[in-house]
Amino acid sequence: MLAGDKEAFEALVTAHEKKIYNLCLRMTGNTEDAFDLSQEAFFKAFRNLDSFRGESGFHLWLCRLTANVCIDFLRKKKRRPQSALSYTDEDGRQIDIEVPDERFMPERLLDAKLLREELQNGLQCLTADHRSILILREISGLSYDEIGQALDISAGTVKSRLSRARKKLADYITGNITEKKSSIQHERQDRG
Amino acid sequence: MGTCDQYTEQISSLVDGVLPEEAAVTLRGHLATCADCGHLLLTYQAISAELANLEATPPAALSGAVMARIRVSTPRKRRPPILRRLSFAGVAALLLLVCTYAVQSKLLGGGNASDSTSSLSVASTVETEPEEAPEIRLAGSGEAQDEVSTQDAAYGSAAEAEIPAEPPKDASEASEETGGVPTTDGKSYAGSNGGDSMQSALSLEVGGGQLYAAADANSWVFLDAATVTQLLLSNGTVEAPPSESAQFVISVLLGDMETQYVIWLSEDAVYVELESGEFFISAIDFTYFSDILQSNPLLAD
Repeated sequence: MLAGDKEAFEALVTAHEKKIYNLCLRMTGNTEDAFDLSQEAFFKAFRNLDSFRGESGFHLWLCRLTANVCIDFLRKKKRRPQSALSYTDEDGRQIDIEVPDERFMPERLLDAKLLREELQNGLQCLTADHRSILILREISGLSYDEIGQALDISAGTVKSRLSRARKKLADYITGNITEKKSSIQHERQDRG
Repeated sequence: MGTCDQYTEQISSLVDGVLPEEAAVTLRGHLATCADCGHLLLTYQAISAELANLEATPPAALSGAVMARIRVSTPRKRRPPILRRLSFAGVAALLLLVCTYAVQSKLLGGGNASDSTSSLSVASTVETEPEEAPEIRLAGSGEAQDEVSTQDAAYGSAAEAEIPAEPPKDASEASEETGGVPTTDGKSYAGSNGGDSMQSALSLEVGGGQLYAAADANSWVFLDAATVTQLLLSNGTVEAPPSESAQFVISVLLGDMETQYVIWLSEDAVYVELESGEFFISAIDFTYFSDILQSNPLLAD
C-alpha cells in the first residue's frame, strides 16, 4: 500500500483495530488510555508507512509500533501501580518480591470468575516489559521470533522473559485468590 | 532430576508449544512426580486461556477518530518546515478573521451579513526560501466582511499601544521554549482584503516565540502559542456547521501543490471541512478572545 492512501489505510484500521485496541487496553488497563493510544498508534503507522518495508507482516509491524507507543506512555506517565509483589527501594528501583510456591492452589485458580478479576489486576502489576511480552504472546498471538523482532530482543530473551512474566502473574493471581477465598471462608465461619 | 526452578521456563515453553520433544519428555516425567510444577502448568494454561478470552470490542468511534485525525493532519504531513511555519501563521490569520467576526457580533454589535463578496489574501513575503514560495489565500463571503472594515478603523487609532513597536528579529531560542511556534527571524506575512477600496492591512510576523499581527508598521497585536491554545477550547467532528456560519476558503500553495480548506465560522467555533464530508470543529473561547481585543489599543475607538 502506498503511503498516504487513506482509503486503503482505513481498511487496515478496520482490520486491525480490535487487536491493537486490546493490546493497548491490556497494556494500560483502562479504556480511555487504550482509545487514545490506539489512535496514536494508527496515526504513527500512517505517518510512517514509508518505513514499512514489508519484510515482516503489517500486523507485526503495527504490533511493534503499538507496543512501543504503550511502553513510552507508561514510562512517561509512570502510571504503573505499586505491585503487591514489588516495592521501590531507596534509589527508586523497582524490586520484585518472590512469592513462595506453596501458595499455589490451582484447584482454586480454576474459579473462572476470580481468575478473570485477578488477571485484569495482575497484568497491571507487572512491569511494562513483562506485560508487553505477555500480551504480545497471549493476546496478539505473536511467535517468539516475532516478539523478538517487535521488542528488538533475541528469541532466547523472549523465552526467559516470558517465563518470568508468567511466573510473576501466576504468583500474583494465586496469592490474591487464596487470600480472597480465605477471607470468604472466615466470613462464613463468623456467620455460622 | 533437577530442581523445580529449572523447569519453570520449560513449562512456559510447553504451554507455547515450543519446547523440543526431548526436553518435553523429561519435563513430563518431572510433572508426573511434582505436584507444584503440575499446578504451575495448569495455572499457566488457565491464564493463557483466560487471556485469550479477555478480548474486548473496541469503541465504535475508534476507526472514525483515527481517520478523522489522519484526514485533518494529512496536508501537513509532507510539508517542508517552511510550510509548517506558514501553517501556524495561517492559524493566526484565521483567528484574526474570527476576531473580526467576534468584533462585530460580540463587541461592536455590528451589522448583519453583507451580500457583497470580498476576499482576504495573505501572501508570504518570505525571501529566504523563494523556491518554496508558499502562499495562503483566504477568500470569504458573508458576515465577516463588514467587520474587516470596522477593524480597519480601529487599527488606525492605535497610537498609544503598549505592545511592542515591532517584533524581535531573532527569536529561535524563545521559539523553542514556547513550543510549536516557528523559529524564524521575523518572518512576515502580509496581505490585504482585495476587491474594493476598503483595503485592510493584515500582517503576521513570527518572532520572539510569539506571533504578531499588524495593522501597520508601527502597531502590533501579538499572540503567543499559549494564547492560541487557550483560544481553541476543544476539537471534534460534526456533521455540519450551523447554517448562519460564514464560509471561507483557505488555499495553501507550495510550488505546484495546492491544498484547500473550506472553513466556516460560527459565533463560537471554527469548522474545517474534511474529505469525508464531516466538519472538524475547533471551539473558540470568544470571551477570552474578546478580553484580549478589548484590552488592546489597536481596537480602541
